[in-house]
Amino acid sequence: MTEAEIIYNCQKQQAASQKLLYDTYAGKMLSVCMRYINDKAEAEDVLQEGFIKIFANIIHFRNEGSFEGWMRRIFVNTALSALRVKQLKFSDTNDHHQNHSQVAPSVLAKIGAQEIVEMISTLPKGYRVVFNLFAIEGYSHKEIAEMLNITESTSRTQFLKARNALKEKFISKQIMKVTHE
Amino acid sequence: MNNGENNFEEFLRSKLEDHTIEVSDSVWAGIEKKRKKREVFIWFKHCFNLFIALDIFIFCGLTAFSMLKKNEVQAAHQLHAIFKNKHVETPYKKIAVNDDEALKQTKNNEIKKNQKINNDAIINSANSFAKQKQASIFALKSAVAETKVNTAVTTKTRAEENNGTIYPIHENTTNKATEKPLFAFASIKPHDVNAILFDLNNDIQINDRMENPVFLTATLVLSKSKKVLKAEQKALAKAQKESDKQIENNIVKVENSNQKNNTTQENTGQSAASIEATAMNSEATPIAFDTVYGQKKFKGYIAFDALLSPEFAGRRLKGTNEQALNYISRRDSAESLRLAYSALMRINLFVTKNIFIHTGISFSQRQEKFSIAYKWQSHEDYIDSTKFVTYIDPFEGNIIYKTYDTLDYVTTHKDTITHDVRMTFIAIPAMIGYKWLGKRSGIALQAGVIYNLLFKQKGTVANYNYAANDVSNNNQNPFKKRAGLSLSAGISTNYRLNDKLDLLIEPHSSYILKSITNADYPVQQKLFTYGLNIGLRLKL
Repeated sequence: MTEAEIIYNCQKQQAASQKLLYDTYAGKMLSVCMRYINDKAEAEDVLQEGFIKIFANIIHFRNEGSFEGWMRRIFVNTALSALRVKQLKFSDTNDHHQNHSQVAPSVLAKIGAQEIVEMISTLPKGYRVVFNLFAIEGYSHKEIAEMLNITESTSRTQFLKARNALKEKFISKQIMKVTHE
Repeated sequence: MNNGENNFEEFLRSKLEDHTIEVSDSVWAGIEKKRKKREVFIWFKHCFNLFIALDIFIFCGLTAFSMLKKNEVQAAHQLHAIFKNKHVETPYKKIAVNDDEALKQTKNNEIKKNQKINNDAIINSANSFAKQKQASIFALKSAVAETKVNTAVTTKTRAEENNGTIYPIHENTTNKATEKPLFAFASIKPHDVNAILFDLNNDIQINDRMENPVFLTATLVLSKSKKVLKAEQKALAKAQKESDKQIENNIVKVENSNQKNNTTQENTGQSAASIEATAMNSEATPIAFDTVYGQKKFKGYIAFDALLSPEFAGRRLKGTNEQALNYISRRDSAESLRLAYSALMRINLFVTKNIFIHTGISFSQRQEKFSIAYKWQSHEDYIDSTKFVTYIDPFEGNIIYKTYDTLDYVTTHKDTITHDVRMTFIAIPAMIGYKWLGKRSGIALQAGVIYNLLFKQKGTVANYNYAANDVSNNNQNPFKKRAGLSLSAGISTNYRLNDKLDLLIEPHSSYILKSITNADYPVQQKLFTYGLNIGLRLKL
């Protein structure tokens, strides 16, 4: 069954197609949720809520753009709601200390997706959210500012800090790997 | 540096793009559970919405009906109070006694058991007086209203107004020949004049909407100043004159009616009217009253209609780009007659004698089928052929056969695309109408809206880009999932088959307000239909 057929059947609320859609995307979408929410059980709750929203609103999907993109947006919004992002504290200090050190490409090649997700999940909430939205989902700082009710400059600062923190984690991982070897 | 940073993000994106994490089974179980709960909730929500809609519909109907009734009931109660307080021996009592006597004689008869027939009998007794040309029992003078007659009054002011409009008239309501007075009074409303007979003994209101011209002479007086009183007297005198004239007319009508009824009565010999006539020792036979069409007091009622309609299915196309306009012109030339049909079940509430509202459910289907020639290919195929030509030799008389070879065969081809779509609509109509009644038939004008619940399509659609697409494929289906709201209007004619059944014939038309194709589809299509509903009405 093609994706279009699955969508059409889901719009008709056919249970079998809904299960098929779930089986196709659940793992991928849980990965999205896990990048925002540390706890797996909590992320699964978000996943569940997100799918319920998708089944309820799939009738409004008009085949304009990618279906996966549409789903991903719903999961991101659900995760943000779960995090109660409006209550997140973003420190807006002008800490322009930047880590210009580069992560060696050889190290990058060795790091798997699961490790990346784990590293992202260790970042503080504010960093994590902004970094995910900007670097992974591709939202602009303006859009992020609107979504999180913060200023654009705060979004930028949070992102830079998140990136530096993440790079440091990569480098320390690199050192650890080298030591092991 | 920037490049390196961008690479870092791109690397992360590429790594995470297809990353999956194993999901525990409990997630789907939870989704299913919630989904089922939601389905139940949605079902209840639909039921609730339908219930609310029906409630509003019934409430509006009943409110309108009760408002109309309220005036008459108030009038009766007020009159009762007037006569009780003033200890006036109501002339009607005498009639009531007579009636009682009459009823005693038929004690074991149905008429005694049935209050409805009893009421008829009392009215009929009044008619019998008229028949005997001892006229004045219905010499009802015009009533006097002390109030502003305003059609747009509130319920409260309307009630007050009614208090003023009810005016007992009894000084001239005696039968001059028999000295038997009849109590009567008139109730005047802005658009209506009712004669009300009131039985004080039994506290029964016998209110008959008599379309007797006697009562139409009512004069409205706005105040009770001297001037106005003078005018009132003048008006009363005028009304007296006119009413006398109309009484004469009325008597003639009653006589005619009685003659007719006499014939019927001879055949049946069972009607309540005949019993009453016997009881009154009168030759008079009462006017036969019909439950719905006649002159009897109107009671709101409900009717159930089942209708079928063949329909002409029209459509209006609008193109938003050049290709679409080209498609429309080709389609217009290819598509001719489109047929449809609909089936309708509906429930009517007759709020007043003339006004009704109805709702129900309609199922309709229309078929669109045509072939568009969108590409003409003219080419020539030369083939060898031999022509035989016969001559007769003019000198010898011999037949000469000659043959010629030819290379001249031309054919023309065209590419066509077929559009074959069956559309199904399920909708709820909500209409209001005004009805004029005749003896056996009626005619009504009705209008309202139709709300589309379901719009489904099946088949192949010839798209504006001349591609044949299966509408069951959601990506290629240019139609909306709901057709939205339609306006509908029609004329309803009915012919009474019996007391319970009417035959209905209704020419009607409807127009879907919005396009049935998606907003981004370059050909916007609006539908309209002309049809003829044929069916039956069951009066409950």
